[in-house]
Amino acid sequence: MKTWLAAYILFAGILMVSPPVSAHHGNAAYSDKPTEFKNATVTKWLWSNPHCIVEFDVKDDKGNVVSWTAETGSPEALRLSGWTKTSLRPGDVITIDLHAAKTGQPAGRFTKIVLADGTVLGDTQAGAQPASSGRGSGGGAPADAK
Amino acid sequence: MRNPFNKVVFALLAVLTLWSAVAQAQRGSRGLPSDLVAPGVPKMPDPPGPAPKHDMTGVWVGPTKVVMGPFPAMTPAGQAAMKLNKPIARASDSATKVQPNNDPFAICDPLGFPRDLLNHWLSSRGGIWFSPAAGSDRMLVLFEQQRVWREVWMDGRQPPAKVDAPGTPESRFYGYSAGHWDGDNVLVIDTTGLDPRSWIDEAGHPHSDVAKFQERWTRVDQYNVEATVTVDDPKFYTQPFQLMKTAYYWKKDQDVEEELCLPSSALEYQGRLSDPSGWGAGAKPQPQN
Repeated sequence: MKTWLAAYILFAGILMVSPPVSAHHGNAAYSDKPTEFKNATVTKWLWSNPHCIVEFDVKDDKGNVVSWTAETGSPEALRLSGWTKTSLRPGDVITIDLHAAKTGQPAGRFTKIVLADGTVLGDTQAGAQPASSGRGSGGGAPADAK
Repeated sequence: MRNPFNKVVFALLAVLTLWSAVAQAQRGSRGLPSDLVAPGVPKMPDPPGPAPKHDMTGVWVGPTKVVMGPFPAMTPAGQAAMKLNKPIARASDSATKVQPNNDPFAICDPLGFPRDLLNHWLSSRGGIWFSPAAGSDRMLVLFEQQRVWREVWMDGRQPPAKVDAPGTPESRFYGYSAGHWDGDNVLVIDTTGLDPRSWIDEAGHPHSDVAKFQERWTRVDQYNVEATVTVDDPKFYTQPFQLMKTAYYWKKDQDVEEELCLPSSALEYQGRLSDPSGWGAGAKPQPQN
């Protein structure tokens, strides 16, 4: 029985292996642990290659305003999960989850943004689903990263 | 396995596993709906019609099923050129080292040929548009990424044997290409005269100014094209080799997006994100543990 069980585990393992999600660049520069910022104010949304970036201001523990920059996929990849060129606008107040740079600089790769109206926009690298509502509508299948 | 109960349990487990695998395959390896062949790429009617004769015209998406290499050993000159190229570590790499890169595309330099065939390949859905030019003496190959094009002469001429020497043409990022049909459905394109500043892939493999590339585009059927690219570059590689084998699929709406790398955005990206994070073109290497 042990032999058959081992054979089964091997068989199932082979069938269930999935190809890795590809991405433009590795994430070795970023912390594994996500950080969430609430009441962040968007100052710029760059819909461009090689990657889209959002710039935002948020207050730190001491009440000082810190300007952060966070990246996500390319427009081509983001369109598939509901993002558009106008998904974010300066002045939008958002909640943003990101993996910060290990260098300690205010930069990172974001995994999720929640708009004030509750719309959730995900990062393609995390296999984002189409936007849940509101401004990010129009998406398609879960996207590959770029 | 003499116990009948064990046989039944094993059989049930096997059926369950197979069912799960089939369901996964039907949805696609990335959880795709059954009406898509890749993210954002609608499936065409099945089965496809036969491949039309001597016709590659249309907008194709891809590449899919990309197989690169294997690359042969490099010559000392090739190794020296490779050392100068610092690619961006990819997510699929297990590397944990963070270091500056000098990928030309990070600052929107031209992808060049043959890297443009990969369409910055990670999304697998860049558009390539084959279109006969007016007069039909050449085929145009237009690329969604960066909105660039190649001219493939179909009038029997040969691409230059040498460039950048007195009396010869200048090298180009997209080279000089000449094509012909091999049988009814295989378009063969020979390309030379490439500017050696471009990389041939995202891993930073170089090519020299004497590199000769041959593409073989096989129209498999109405909606599928397969492509192979071989390289003969004796200055940098010790033997000719197959650089890539891949496939493209018919784009249902035949529309081409605008995918531009904007230098102003790339500069902002570098200044505010990749450099501060330690891997931009102008970043200082991080101390490694």
